[in-house]
Amino acid sequence: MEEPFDKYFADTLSEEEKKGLFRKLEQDPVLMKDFVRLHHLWVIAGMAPLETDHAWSARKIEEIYRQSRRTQTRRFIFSLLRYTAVVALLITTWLVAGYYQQTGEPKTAYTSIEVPKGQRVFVILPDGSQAWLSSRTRLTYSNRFNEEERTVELDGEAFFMIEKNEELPFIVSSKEYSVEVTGTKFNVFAYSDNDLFETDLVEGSVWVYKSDDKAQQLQLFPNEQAYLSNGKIRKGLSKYVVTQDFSNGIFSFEDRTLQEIVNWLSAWYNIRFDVQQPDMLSYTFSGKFRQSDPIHTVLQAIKETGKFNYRIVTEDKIEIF
Amino acid sequence: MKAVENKKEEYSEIYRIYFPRLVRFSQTYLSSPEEAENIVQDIFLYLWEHPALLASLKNRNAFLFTMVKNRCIDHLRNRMLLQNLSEVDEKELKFKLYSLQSFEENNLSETEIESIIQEAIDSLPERCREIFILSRLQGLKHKQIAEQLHITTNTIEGQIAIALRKLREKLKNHIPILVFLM
Repeated sequence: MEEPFDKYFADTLSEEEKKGLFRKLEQDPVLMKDFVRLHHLWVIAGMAPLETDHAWSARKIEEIYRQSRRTQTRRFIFSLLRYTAVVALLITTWLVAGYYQQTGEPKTAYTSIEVPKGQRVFVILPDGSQAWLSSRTRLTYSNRFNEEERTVELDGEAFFMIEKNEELPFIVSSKEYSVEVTGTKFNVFAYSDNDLFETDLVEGSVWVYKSDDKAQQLQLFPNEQAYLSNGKIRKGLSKYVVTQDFSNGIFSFEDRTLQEIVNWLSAWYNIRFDVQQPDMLSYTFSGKFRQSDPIHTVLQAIKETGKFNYRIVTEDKIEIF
Repeated sequence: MKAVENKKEEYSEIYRIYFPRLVRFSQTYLSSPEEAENIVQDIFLYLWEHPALLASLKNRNAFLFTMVKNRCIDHLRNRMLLQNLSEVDEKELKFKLYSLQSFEENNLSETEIESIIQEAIDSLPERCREIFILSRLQGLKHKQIAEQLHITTNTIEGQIAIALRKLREKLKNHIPILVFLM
């Protein structure tokens, strides 16, 4: 067996060495055959059990049961609904009529907090939970919040620090997806005018599900992220960074692609980006900026890295080249 | 109610045996461990919701590995369609696709395969076994292993080489595809 083979499996080959190895394999079918056999051995060795397997699968199987329970409940409710629709309609009419007669005005009132472009707002909710709202975000909750439910509607981005309450789960509902927690720290990115949906978990655990289809859901643990991919909710590693600067309105990021940065900026500043070369979108950057900084200050700083140039075409369009 | 309990018990038994193995299998081929987990989890959710399918299987092992294998092949093909892959990444994807397509999942259908492999791993010298488990089974990067065990990259390479040679020697009588030409 040759050294580069071993190094490949030990994962210690440099980019150059890997290139050399693959070139050799392409030219030598016998060598390729042996390398594939060794790769198969590597695969087969993975069939051995690990001590931690048991706990791992016990945790993951709960996700399956929970997910499937939600589907079944939904099916049951649907079939029940068919039979009770008429009855329900009657009762609702009566309730609404009776209600208006008693008070003369609807009971539910909503509180809405709207953050202007380029600002960041800190709110304390009636249950003591706290949230940082990003630029162009609207957060709405009803006057029944913390009595019958703890639901907030989010259009935009917010970092939540939720007070623990096992009986009243805290639900962040956005255009398409909802996040349900009992007590934890997490970030939700869900602007209704942007296709991106992301939840990053810092502490505790949360459930993320499609608002109109609870079967499409998954559970996150610390440092995990839920994101949308081809219309499906997926799990990945979170790169979300919370630093001490955070409460001063400073946003930090590490190793993020231009694609991700452009997505945030277009949501926060309501700007369209036109990226001339698609491969630029995979360049990565680290840095920090104030969300209240004007957009050209932010872009200027990233531009200094020398990886790209930009031009402000109109008030809401920027070209990157 | 008893039938429901039995169904759950049987399912969780299968899950417990196969979930970790299938995830490690797909992890070898996919670059993201989360994606590997997602693929296997999707398949198991489907099986939980279609219990008749699970009950009707003659060769459960081959069925599960074939499902995962096919999903991984799709995934690799999709990734290869991405633009701006570097030359090395593209070649590595091609290689992995080739390795995956030529993988004979029936090799794993032998019931005692797991104990044969475990025995082979257990027979490795202590340090060698430790390094191999961290690298192969726990999926740690060589830098993490070096840090955790206070050893050099060279030691890791050497020990992995020894492990592969010994495992090949031990397993070749049980698994025909491992009879090497070299």
